[in-house]
Amino acid sequence: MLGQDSSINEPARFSTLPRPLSTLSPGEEAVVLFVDGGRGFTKRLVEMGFVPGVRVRVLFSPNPGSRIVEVMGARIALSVGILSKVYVG
Amino acid sequence: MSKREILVGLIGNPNVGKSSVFNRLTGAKQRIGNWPGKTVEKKEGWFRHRGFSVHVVDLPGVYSLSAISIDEAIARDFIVEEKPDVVVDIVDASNLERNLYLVLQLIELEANLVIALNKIDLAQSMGFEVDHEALSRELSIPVVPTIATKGYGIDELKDAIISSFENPQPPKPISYGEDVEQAISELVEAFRSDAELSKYPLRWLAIMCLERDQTVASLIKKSSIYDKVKEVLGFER
Ligand SMILES: Nc1nc2c(ncn2[C@@H]2O[C@H](COP(=O)(O)OP(=O)(O)OP(=O)(O)O)[C@@H](O)[C@H]2O)c(=O)[nH]1
Ligand SMILES: [Mg+2]
Repeated sequence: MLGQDSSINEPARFSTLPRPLSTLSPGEEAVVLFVDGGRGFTKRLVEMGFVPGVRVRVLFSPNPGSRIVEVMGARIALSVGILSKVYVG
Repeated sequence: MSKREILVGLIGNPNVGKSSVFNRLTGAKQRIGNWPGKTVEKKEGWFRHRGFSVHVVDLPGVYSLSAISIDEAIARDFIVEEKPDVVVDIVDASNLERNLYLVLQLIELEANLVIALNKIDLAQSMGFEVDHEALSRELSIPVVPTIATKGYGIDELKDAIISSFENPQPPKPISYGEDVEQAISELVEAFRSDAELSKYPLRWLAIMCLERDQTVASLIKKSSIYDKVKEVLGFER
């Protein structure tokens, strides 16, 4: 779990209880704390910009199963299932 | 006159201005086709500069070269297999942080890199002033500021492509610390003895191997030195 056991985690402070990104409503912002997944999954999400310490914002929900998320200057569409493994605070 | 055709790959994250740069470089001399066996569009173009004929291949827009998506696989295979003389990475100056990840991957692929630092007008309007000379120094890669939509910097980019072709400067490898470097050098040693593997950049192969990259893993499984690799990876964890 990148961000929980590595030094990359250090800039992110657990000021609030970590919660999955899938629980944020459109318009809400938070900071990435860690990605909870296997090696390949975590690497993929980090490559998309979900690096611990980075600010993310949920823009809108094109349908109940997915969200458009702004992360590191790009807008990315992801399923709620995937976002439930990205923890923010 | 000797044959002086330069093969250039154009790469960058999505929406950085790749098509704009491609059109400015090649003008009307373009051809659109498909990548062999794929439905992904392949754009090629040509231009002449300082007596050189330059063949430009527009690669798909990608955030990384992990080869998970078809676009990434196309971009990566082109760089690894075709070995273009120069790779131009279009970097969005208004979003440097995200764009630097692809730069890092291209450095590891040992591509002969030129960076086009595009959208400097947009960056400026957002209050960013990117010190392109410092960036170039830190990375040991030529950096050319451009505004593709206005054609600004395109001649300088052409100059930089020719200079990098004539005088390639290997970028500084990124060091990952003692433990990882130890594993990397053991893997590189093992790869060196395999004829098939030694056509790839060995350091890159080693790093991909440590990342458990699927494409590289299947390459190594087929190779003669699989047992040795398993041994090294045993130390790693
Ligand atoms: N301000 C500014 N905008 C630019 C510049 N270069 C490109 N753009 C704009 O950025 C957007 C994307 O440009 P494209 O050339 O289509 O970028 P691309 O990388 O080919 O995009 P995709 O193929 O969709 O990934 C367009 O709206 C361009 O007008 C630039 O230097 N400055
Ligand atoms: Mg394009």
